[in-house]
Amino acid sequence: MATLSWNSPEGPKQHDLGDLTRIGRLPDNELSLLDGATSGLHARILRQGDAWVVEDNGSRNGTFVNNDRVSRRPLRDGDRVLVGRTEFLFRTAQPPAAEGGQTLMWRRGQPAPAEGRPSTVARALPIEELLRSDTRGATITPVSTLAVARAAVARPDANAAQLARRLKATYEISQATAETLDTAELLDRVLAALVGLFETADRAFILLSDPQSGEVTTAAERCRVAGQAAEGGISKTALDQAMRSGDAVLCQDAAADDRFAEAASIIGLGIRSLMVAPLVFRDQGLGAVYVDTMRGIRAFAEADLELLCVAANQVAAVLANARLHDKVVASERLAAVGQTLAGLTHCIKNILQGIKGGAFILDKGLGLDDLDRVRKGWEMVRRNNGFMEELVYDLLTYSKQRPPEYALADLNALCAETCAYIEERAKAAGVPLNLVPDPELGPVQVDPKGIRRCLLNFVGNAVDACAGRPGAAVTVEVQGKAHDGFARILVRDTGCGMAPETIAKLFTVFFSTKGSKGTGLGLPVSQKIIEEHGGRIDVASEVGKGTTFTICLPVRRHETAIA
Amino acid sequence: MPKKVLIVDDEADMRDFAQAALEDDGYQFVFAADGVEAVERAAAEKPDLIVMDVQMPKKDGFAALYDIRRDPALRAIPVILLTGIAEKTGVRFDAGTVKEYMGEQPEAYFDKPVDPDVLREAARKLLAK
Repeated sequence: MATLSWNSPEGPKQHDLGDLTRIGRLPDNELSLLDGATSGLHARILRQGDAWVVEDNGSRNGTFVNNDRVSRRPLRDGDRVLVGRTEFLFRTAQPPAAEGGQTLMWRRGQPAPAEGRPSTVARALPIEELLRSDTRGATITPVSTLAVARAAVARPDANAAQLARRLKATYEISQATAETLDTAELLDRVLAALVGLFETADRAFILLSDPQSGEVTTAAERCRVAGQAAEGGISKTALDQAMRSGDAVLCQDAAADDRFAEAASIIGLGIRSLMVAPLVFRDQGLGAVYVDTMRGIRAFAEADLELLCVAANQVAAVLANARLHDKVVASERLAAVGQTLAGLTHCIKNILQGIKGGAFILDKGLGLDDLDRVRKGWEMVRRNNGFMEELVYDLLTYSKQRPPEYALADLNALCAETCAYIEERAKAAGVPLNLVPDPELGPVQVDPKGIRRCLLNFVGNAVDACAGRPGAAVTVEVQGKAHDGFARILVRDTGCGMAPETIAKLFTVFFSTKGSKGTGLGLPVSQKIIEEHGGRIDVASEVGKGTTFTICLPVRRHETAIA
Repeated sequence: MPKKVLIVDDEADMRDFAQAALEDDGYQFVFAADGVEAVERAAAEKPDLIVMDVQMPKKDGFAALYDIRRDPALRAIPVILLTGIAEKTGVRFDAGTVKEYMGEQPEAYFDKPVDPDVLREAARKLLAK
């Protein structure tokens, strides 16, 4: 009989090991963990006669036994197995029944054990290790957490109930920092843990200073009596002192404390005891955590301040991380907007030049009574107007999330239409254009307008790639019969081909090799349309030999087949 | 003998436009459709002025300008650059920044859409020297 025990968000858990226990994120594992750091099938534990072996399944983050990364290792009683963020305790026999004592396991929503014996200190170790496993991967400094957890464990005068409370709070704060991405929620959870921990506390606040203005505002508040927090203020003197010096402040008897002799808040609000821990990350002051009480002097001990500092350190690290993240996101967004605007401006300027140039030639033709010029100028205006329409269509297609407007359509006919549309342009460029339809392929459900747009892009590009290359040609081939449920349209050219660097950038918005002729939107838009169909685009190209674009579209015959 | 102007643009529309803008001043025109051809035509035709687009296939206008300036036989030919590029790496392009970017400076530099009168005036000025 062997078991794995661990602490899950729902509380302590135990699993009896069978001959094979698979551990991983996927639900079909015997032990399924909801943890992003765990692979789908992460590890397995096998029984081999009387022995037990753990095997890593080539997981991304590895499997650890007693802190060693292992691929396969026999397990012994008491081994700790770390999978993702979960640490398991491996036991070959049931742990002896607790002799009336408590292991310091706690369950959410249940009061911590009320009384304990000195021996429970030894049993606290698994929890300490659980704490470590739960802080793994979070942006906090687990060392300080552990240090204080250890200090709490080692403190001779601390009784077990206090210990349990402290460990619980430390654990909760670690959990909050590891699990919560939203800053406001994180701060609220931390305060909830602190108010739960410091039974004598009336109010708790987290105050943050604005990185630009330095102005300090309340980011989160909690109080024991509803509405109390909002009333009055906090001790600004203590807060200033902590934030200025970077040291934590503990005031056992506020009214008698010389440091706050002149502080109106202490007297006016009736604050008796208070603690302030600054939020500091790498010498950068971010704010402070503040706890006070109106109920009595000596409400907080130094150990309480220590714990408050640990919480503050964790919060500071997470906040610094969040601020950095916001900065990066903002600058990336700005860069993307800038790039988009530059690309757009370029397209629009070229089109404007075409319209302006056309109008100028048209004007001149009118003045000279030269009908050929009038026609030429008018053609330019009209063509560029068409470009503008295309640009707007592409931009809308690219920027909008829209499902394809499915209708039954014949891919052969769509290809034929496209070839007919481009034929004139191909002839002018001296490029032969061939169509190889697949008569066996019946009508399928696609968005005809979108597919037409894609085909125009691909066939147009293919003609451009062949222009000026004697012997180069374009072939559009439909392949309806495939065993993978996809129909294919191959647009093949024996033109100039593309270098790997160009292929890598093909689907980047506003990337174009066509000088002023390309908008750099054609391929990204085509890709989006095909992907909205649940299809994909394959590219094969060789410089000097040519390029083949393969559009793969799932064959859907009926509307009901569209999920 | 009429002055010779080399017009370089990958788009026929733009070549037609530049020609239409300049033709009343009685120049002779030769054309090229990309930067490589531009350098070849410049060497063969020895034009008095080059009006050149920037974004072109094979070799862009900046690179062609660079090559022309490196060729002792061509370096004296004045060049007008036309472009639709708004900004690159946050720098707004003008003749000065082109010099910084390429180490060479065109005699004139216009952002598209360029006005035909502006183009004609610039050509007149450069050819009068």
